[in-house]
Amino acid sequence: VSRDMWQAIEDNTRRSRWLILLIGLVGILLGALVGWVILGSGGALWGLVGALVIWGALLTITFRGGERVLLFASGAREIRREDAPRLWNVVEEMTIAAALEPPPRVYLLDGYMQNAFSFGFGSGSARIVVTEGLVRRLTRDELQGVIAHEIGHIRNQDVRFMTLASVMLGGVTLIADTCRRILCLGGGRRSRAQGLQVWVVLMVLLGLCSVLAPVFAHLLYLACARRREFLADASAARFTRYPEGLASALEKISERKGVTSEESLRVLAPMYVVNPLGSNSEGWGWFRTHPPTELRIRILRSMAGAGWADYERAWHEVRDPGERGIDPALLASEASIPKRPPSERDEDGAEDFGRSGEVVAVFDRDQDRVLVECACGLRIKVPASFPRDWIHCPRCGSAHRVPQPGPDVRSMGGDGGLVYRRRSRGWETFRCECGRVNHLSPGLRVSEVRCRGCRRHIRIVSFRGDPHQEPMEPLRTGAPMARQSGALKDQSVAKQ
Amino acid sequence: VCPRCRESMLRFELDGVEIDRCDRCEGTWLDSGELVVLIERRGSGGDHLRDAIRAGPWVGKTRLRCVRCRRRLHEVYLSRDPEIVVDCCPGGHGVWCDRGEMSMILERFSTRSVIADHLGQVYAACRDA
Repeated sequence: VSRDMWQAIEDNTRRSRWLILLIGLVGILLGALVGWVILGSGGALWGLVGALVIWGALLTITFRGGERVLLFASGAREIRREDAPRLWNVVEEMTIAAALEPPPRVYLLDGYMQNAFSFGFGSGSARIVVTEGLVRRLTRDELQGVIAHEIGHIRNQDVRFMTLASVMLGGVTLIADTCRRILCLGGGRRSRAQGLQVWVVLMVLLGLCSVLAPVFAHLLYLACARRREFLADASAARFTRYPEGLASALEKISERKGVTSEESLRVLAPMYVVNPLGSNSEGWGWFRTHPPTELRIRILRSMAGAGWADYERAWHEVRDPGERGIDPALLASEASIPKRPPSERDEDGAEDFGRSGEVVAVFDRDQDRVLVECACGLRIKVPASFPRDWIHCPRCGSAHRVPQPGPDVRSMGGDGGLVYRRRSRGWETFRCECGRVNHLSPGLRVSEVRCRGCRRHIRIVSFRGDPHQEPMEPLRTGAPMARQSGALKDQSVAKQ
Repeated sequence: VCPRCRESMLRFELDGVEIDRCDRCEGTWLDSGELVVLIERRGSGGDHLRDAIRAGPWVGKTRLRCVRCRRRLHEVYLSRDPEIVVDCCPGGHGVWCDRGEMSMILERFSTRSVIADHLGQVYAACRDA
């Protein structure tokens, strides 16, 4: 990263401070007004103090895990390497390309909306959230572009600012909302003490402020948010050395912004790759958090190389040549970086398929579904509450025994460690001693997983050779559930 | 959860595309997110079944509710003769096909729609789906 890049980051940080100060000021003034209306002339001070307290509390919450509040609000799930190795691999690649240390934590959001966002303070605890729909629809190059864009945000310290700003914005909205409630309930001490006219004027003023303050705070917020998108796009092009990836991902995402937009929170909107709430067709408008997607795609597509300077040049080509770009100093500081060719895709898109399957599995696991794999290729996901013992494959008609509760994992040795022996190279479902269903993906290459229920470590003994040739070790191994749950019952009887 | 019986549905995954089916009433829920993935994978622009759902007359609301948004599903006529009616979410979250409807859809659309083709593959062994 060049020195000028740091310059741009510093600019960001400075702007963030101003913004947060301004939003805070709006909140405090609003608080003072509320106090004045409710308690009379002496109340302004109380209102001011009250607003300061709220502001302070919000800041404390933000710095001590505000991202968790946001995560909780959006309902995202953290994934580990063993959950989705192929998705993890893409993130890891980009982390290395961006020299980001430590790597960000990755969360998956359920739903068909296609988007990604990142948040957290500093690079230390940065989190990237991608939606299920995004991972399932994008090819590897496209996904890489989107992840690189988010990592660009983290690298440029946008993420810290965005998280802080959205929490501050929430504070102002909170105070304004309180105002409106007070208005609805009618009154305060002043209404009794003073004439009706004064009261009406004050109420109108307060009503106006409570409506305008969040709007004003929002505008300030947006003004800083838009330029960051271009910087993150440029970063993505540089990290991937393949601008087309992000361009085609943006095209895919914007062409149909998912089935539901209500899934996303308004406050989170500026953090997404593409604005999930509004249309992105044309014009800049005051309320836009993102520059028009079409413009971003055009800039990315007209890049001759993949460096900062290339992005800067493309920007001037597409937009007004006289306008200030990301940072004029960048152009001089760096030579053009050559693009890489698109990565080779396997004929049937097996890689994309596999990644998509991993992501689907993450949510199956959460719903406690048991996986029954039929030889015909169909995978049947049986809900835990399924009442019958047998199930017929609708594709080939063969019957499968539905796995019954009972541990597949055995304690071994004196330390009581749990062991599961893999029976195939495919997807596997097994039950831990605690009864919870755990899944193993085909791409899993780790020697240990943690049970989702009891959080105990389970050692995974990898599959060797054909299961038909391997002699069964009834008491020491976990039997595959689809076929052998009867055998398992026998074992437990034998044990007793 | 099945819109009719309110029970957890079985989920069939083939080629990375999922279909939900209720074991009790044998109705099928097609999620539009899955359908988008399916159509894109197969690389075809138009789809007759999807077009028929979009174009078909939307009649009244049914008692059933969308699996995702809980809004009342609307009845949509895919054809008058034979009469094929499916229930669609007004918010575009998906389509619900009752037991008898599926086999008629398969018969009518299997050659002209990747969705019906996929459904035909999943339900190859049970023709009365």
